[in-house]
Amino acid sequence: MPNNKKIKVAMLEISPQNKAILEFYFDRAGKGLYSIVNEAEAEALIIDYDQFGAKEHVTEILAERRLPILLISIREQNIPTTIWLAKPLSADELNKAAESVTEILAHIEASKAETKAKEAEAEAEAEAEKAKIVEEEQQEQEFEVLTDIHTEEDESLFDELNTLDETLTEKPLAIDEMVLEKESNLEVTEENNAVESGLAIAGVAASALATTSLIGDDDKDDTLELNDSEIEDNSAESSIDIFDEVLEEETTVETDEDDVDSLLDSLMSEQEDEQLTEEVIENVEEESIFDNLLTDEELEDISEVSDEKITENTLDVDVLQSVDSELEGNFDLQKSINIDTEDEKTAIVEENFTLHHDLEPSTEDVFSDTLEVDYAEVKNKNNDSLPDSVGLTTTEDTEELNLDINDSSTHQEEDITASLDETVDSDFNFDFESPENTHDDITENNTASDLELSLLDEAELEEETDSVEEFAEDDLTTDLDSLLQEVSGENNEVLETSDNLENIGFDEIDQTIDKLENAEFDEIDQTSESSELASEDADDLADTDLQSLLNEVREEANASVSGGFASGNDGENQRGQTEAEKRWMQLCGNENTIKNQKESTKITFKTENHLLGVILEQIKTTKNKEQLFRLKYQDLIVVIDHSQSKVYCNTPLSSDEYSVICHNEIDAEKIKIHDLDYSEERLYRNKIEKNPNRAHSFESFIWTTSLLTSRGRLPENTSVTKSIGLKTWPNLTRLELIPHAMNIAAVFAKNPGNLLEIPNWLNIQQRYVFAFYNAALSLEMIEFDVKKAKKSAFSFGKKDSNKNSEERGFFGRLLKRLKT
Amino acid sequence: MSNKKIIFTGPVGAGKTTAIQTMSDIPIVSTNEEASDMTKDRKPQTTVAMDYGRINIGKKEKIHLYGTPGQERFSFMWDILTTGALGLILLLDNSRENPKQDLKFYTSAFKDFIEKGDLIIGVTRMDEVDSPTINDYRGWINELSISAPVFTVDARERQDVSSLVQALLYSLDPGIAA
Repeated sequence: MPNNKKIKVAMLEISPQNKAILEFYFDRAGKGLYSIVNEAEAEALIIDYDQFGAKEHVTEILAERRLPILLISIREQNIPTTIWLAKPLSADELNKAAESVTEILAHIEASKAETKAKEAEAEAEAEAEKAKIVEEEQQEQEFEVLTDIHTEEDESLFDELNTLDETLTEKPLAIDEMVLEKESNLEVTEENNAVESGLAIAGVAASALATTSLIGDDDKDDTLELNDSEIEDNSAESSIDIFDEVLEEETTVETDEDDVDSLLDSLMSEQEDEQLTEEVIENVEEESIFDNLLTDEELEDISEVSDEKITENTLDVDVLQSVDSELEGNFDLQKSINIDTEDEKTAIVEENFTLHHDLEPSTEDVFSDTLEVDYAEVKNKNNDSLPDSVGLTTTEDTEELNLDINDSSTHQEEDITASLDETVDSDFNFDFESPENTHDDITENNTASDLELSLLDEAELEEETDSVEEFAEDDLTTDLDSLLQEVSGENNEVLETSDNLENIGFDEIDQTIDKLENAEFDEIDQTSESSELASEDADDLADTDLQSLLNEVREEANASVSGGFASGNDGENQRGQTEAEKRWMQLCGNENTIKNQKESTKITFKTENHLLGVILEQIKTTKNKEQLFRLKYQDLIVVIDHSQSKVYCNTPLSSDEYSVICHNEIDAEKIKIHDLDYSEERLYRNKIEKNPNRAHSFESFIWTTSLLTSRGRLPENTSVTKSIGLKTWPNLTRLELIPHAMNIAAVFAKNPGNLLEIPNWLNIQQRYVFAFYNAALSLEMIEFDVKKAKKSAFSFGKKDSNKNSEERGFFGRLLKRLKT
Repeated sequence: MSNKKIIFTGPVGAGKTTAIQTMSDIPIVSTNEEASDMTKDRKPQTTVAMDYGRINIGKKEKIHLYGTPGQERFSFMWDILTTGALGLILLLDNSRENPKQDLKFYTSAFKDFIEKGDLIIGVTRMDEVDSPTINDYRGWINELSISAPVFTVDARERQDVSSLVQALLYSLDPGIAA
């Protein structure tokens, strides 16, 4: 691979953080080294080995393909064909990895070429062997055909031989007849001897044939034996039956001495031919198949000659010998060929097996050898060039903390874990509830620890120690006493504040104080009473604690909603609280409590008759449209921008005018809606730029508009007895808060109930719950299928255990602390 | 007397350290170090072990605030820190390239804890980048079959971070004020 060529890499299973790092690198320093492609085109892969399922994926990839893989991991990985990149990633490391990848790719290419060449060679050899096998098979088939032909020829020869035997058996009878008829002829004896001699030869030939046939064919053996017996029988018994016919035939046969001589000559000639044939057959055994074929041809010729001779000399006894010899030779030849062929077959099969057996390991050897050699080299190079896995620089601040990150980074993870575990246990005192953690223990741990990680300074440690000591001595009574003192102190502060405000003399503040006295002092009195009760009766301490806590939480909730004017000590804060009260009135109203569904009709409203209904309908109908829509009602202008999920309103949502518009029913005929043209859109954009406070998110706008519309009332046909839940929490950090909103949301989300139950559970006014419900309903956040809600372990109506009470008390105090 | 801990987690730069700093009654103990990796392109320093802050409740009680390191290589700290925690506050940075992936990763990493405890999600830098929207996060949470409130927060604003903690407390015990 040329050095200037970019490595095509694909990122798989990369965590967002590392992906961001890698993409940044690829855009900058790694731009000339790598190019990002999809997995199919990739020459190399980058995989975060610490991701879930990455290990299995890597194993699969390595099994299927030969790609270099850059493994990102906090632990060193020694996997062939991979390059370990320690976390955190660094540009240097990635640059070095590029070199390694290039080397691996070069090795892979080379080994691929080598493998290909070897495969091609092996394939060629296999093809040659295959061709050879096919050739052998063809030859074998040809031999089989030839053998069949010879067998058929043999059979025909047997038939002819039998015929000859029969004829020869009949022949002496005919001669005998001739002797009887021509007793005067002296030469008859010689002729008779000659014939007997011929008969003997024929018998030998028949025996030879029988012997031969035993070798070649058992069936023929039977036939031959039968023929022999027939010959013998015929010579004695059948002569009379066939006499006339033989006699007629013998009339055409030369029976003089010359004829007998010629027969003997012919017999001798055939014996010579037989010897020649045997020589040829001997040669065949040592020659190739093709040579054998040629020999067969010769044999065929010989057979033809023999056949011709047999045919021509039907009564020529000498021919029998030559035929027998040929047959014997043919059988020997066939046997020899069969044996040779079987041997060759076995040899070929064994050779093939050896060939295949040789091929497979050779491929494996090539692959595994290549991988092992290639990546061992690369890995060694990588190991040499890998930078520090963490590489963090210690700063002065770190020195104060005695935390040597460079050192810790070089530790194994287990060491770090153990160290931090130990540190956490000793210094951070995770188990603060454990009474075993005494001052001595902490001090001992702190001093005995050799760890350099000490995240708490001495002052902190002392403070921790003090708290642990206090905890050891702590009891519930002391805890509640201090709490009650705090509550009493805060109540006094409120009273003092009221006195101060009265002294200031502002009418507005006076009114506020009156309100506070009416609305809140009851609760304060309750708190005071609770405090007194708590001090009188130690058995009711827990209940008193909860009651006082409730009052505190209420106060603090109100304070947080009013923007942190909780315990105002001056007129400005008090004015803020008054404004908050006024605003709550606008948002949640002051409707009376209802007791059942029937009474709920007194506090219902029709959403469609209000601005809220019009806006919700408009948002719904224009949901998928890109245009901006303007809704105008009297002086109010609302622009709905779906592209930005924003609503622009020319009137502040906190204004009295907007509150009145929302609360009152509107005249639908006076509402004008149209989509903005280009110039109007530009005007709208300009207005938003100038008055960003007039632009609201859909959620914020609908939330506030719903609250202002309902003012603690319920939409028409709302069931107050049906349990409801919350699909999702409103974005309460960016919405106009109402008292107890967070608590109401939590109850709806975790402990669904109906609209009558929840205010009772939380011990709050119904209007806050109704207001929240209406706002959440407008935002389509109400879940009517309460089975879908993920309930918490907490359940209203059940008596809490001491542990829960204690925990709840702690949570309450924490809430109070958070809201101050 | 009770001492509990709350865990702040999330990706690098999401504002965990800032959130703890905002809420803590003591100067926070931080293990911030100069980033040597590409994290430094997002911020010059990063938490390497943990952040620690504390909210004092009266003289005796306190809530410990722990911030996990955002980098995955310190993920072994996560289990250590979450042991015995009241709940988890996940801060996500809306300006990151793939906040959805961040959400999936961290909810998966703390899956065991989330199943037992409560999760509150705060999304930072939504004023800088208005997409994805809060509704997108809700949809993703729904896809993951997780039930958790999602709030837009500014880690520098005490009221915002306080709301996260309050939501956690109310989620743990909706009857807290009853």
